[in-house]
Amino acid sequence: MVGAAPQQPVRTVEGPARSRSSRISRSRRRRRPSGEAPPLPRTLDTSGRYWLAATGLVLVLWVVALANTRASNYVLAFDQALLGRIARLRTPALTDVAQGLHALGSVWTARVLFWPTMLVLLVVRRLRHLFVFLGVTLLVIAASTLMAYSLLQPRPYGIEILGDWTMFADPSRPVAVFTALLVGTLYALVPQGRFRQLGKLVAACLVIALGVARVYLGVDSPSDVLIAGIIGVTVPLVAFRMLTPNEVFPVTYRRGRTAHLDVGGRRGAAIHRALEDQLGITVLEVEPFGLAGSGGSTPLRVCAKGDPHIYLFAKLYAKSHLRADRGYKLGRALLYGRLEDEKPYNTVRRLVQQEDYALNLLYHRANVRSPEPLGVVEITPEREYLVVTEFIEDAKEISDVEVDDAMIDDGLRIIRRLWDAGLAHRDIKPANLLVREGKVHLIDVFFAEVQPSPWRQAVDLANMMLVLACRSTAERVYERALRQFSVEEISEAFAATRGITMPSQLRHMIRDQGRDLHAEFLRLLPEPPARISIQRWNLPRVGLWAAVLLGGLLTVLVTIFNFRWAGLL
Amino acid sequence: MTRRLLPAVLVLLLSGCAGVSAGVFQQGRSPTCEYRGQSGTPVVILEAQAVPSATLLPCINLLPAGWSVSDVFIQNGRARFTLDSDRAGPRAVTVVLERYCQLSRVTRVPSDEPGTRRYEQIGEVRRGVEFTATRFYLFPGGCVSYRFKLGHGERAEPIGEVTLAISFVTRDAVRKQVQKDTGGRAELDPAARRGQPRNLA
Repeated sequence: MVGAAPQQPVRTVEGPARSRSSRISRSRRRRRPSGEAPPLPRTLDTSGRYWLAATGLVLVLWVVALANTRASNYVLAFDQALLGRIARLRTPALTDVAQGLHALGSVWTARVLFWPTMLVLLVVRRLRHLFVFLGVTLLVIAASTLMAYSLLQPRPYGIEILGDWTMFADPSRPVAVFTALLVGTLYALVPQGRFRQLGKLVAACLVIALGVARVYLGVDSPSDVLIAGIIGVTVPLVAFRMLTPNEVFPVTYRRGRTAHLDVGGRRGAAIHRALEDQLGITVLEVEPFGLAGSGGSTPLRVCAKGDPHIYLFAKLYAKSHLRADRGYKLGRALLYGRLEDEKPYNTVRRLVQQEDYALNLLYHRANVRSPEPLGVVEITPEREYLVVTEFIEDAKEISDVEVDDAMIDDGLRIIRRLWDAGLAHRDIKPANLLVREGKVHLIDVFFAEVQPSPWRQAVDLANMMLVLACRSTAERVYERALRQFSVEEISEAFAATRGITMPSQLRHMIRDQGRDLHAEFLRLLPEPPARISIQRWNLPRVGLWAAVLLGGLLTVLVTIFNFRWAGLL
Repeated sequence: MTRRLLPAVLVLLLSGCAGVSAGVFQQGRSPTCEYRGQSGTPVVILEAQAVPSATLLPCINLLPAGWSVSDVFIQNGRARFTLDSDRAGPRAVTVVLERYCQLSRVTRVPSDEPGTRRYEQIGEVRRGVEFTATRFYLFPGGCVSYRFKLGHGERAEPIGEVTLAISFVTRDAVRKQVQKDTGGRAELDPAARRGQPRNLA
């Protein structure tokens, strides 16, 4: 910061509103003993385990068959016996039916199942399901092809082959792909419950029909179909259950941001239990709250038992938020260069630790009026955590109230205290400034930083002044700001701030008012400040751009190659 | 970041590699006439299944230096493999086995393969232009075509090398091999087809 405040800054000794959390009825906290499952464990479910075991068995049998001619001859004898019996049942009518069913294994059926599913997932923006679906489809195609090229099993011997086929028989690639597409489509598109169960039944019937038809036509041996079916079920089943568990990524068609997680069902029960065990809070109700203003987490309002009952605020963080944060930081690094240390977090635990730490810094060290931090709650280790704070009841967003001089002083004092404590909030916008009983409260410290760059601190000041001016005038805010900040400090703030450094909500608000507040503040300054460049081009940034472009191009090329090779294009 | 990206990259590469690996596997599992004292490889058996009427099956007798097998593709009714050459270029020769061949403007020449009739169809022969020609071998129950697409340079030598490299194995030999491999549990052809008289295509 340049210079010193010309006048004695207005400093009050009052701290943040003191703990309201004492109203909460707390019970004894319970430590989870070693070996006990967390509140929301990640499980495969029983059927998933069976399918995984079946796949393991198939792989073992496969290795045995590869290594031992005798073992493969036993399989051959079984296949031949069964094929012989089925061949004796052949009639022209049955052959017609079988040839019709055989079309289920065609490339066209695969395309019909694959592309609409991808399209629907894209439209409903369920990208995680989309990538898992794409991945399992390509994986099953690749795995079944590689297996077939390793096993080199010809088509069934001693029987007239009545259907179309391509290359080696074991495992039956059309059966594996058809099964995987059906299972994948079910897990990607159909919500868990009765419909999915019904869908599984229909899928099983279709796969059996295809398998029987192929064996009847002599295209595949029974063992080829069996192994293909197991691969086709296991790969998508395990992938979807591991990567898109229903309690974390439920298939729903309700409108809402993809960042927001469902807090009903198993997760809801886990949140209740975790809050009770880890914070000793008796939870009466948990509900999503203020989803519209949040994209980086799932905000919740928790009704806790107390005298009287009290609301708490909780933010649920999951791996999806971690990824979103990484994407955001990568985007920023590409757009602006690395202006400051914006390393992405490695784990969700690190992320919530940071938020909890920042909350404590703001509340205790900076003495800023902000929600009292109550702790971090583990839902699924390394995957999902809750950051719990006081809920600021009866508060209004600053954009919904008339801003008077006291509020302007209060808002500017927040920045001064952040500066004094060596902090930057980095997301000063109307949604993060709440007013209760005429006092301004600062919330959402997700982006807060300790010892940030001077540029970042200056931007905080400018954004605060812009927010306050939105509900008053630039002249008034400038005049009040001079009581706490020097002209040099204000000049630096507006030299560093322009469109892209403002949170989008603030930018939209100023635009909607039809005002150019930034220019108004610049006019109030004794002399226009030299603009501080935020577009920093350096070698790492150029390299990052090159890497991103190259990576993107490679991904597109590899994907197109895979689609073409898999017959999906 | 790495932990998240790794599975995605693996899936993409694995599936991509499958295409490439398939090629590698194919090279290792080429349609060889004789492999460790056995008549034909699984690829040759698959050829036999693709064209059940074919009494002769095309196979690689001995690959000259600089030649390699690529792109083996067999489906019901048709078997195909290609030979790449470091001199004549990639896909210099494509060998196709089918039940019938379309013959037009061909010239019959004495056959170098016993039990077959040989026809030649020469494409454009001009300096600086890729040489294309097709050779047909007709035999009972099938037809094999060699489609030459030779790059610039020497033409006679690659054609001579291909003539020596590609040969035929009889269906009977493959049939016996299947019987032997399966310990007599299985026959290559259905009972009705075995020993069926076949006409020259």
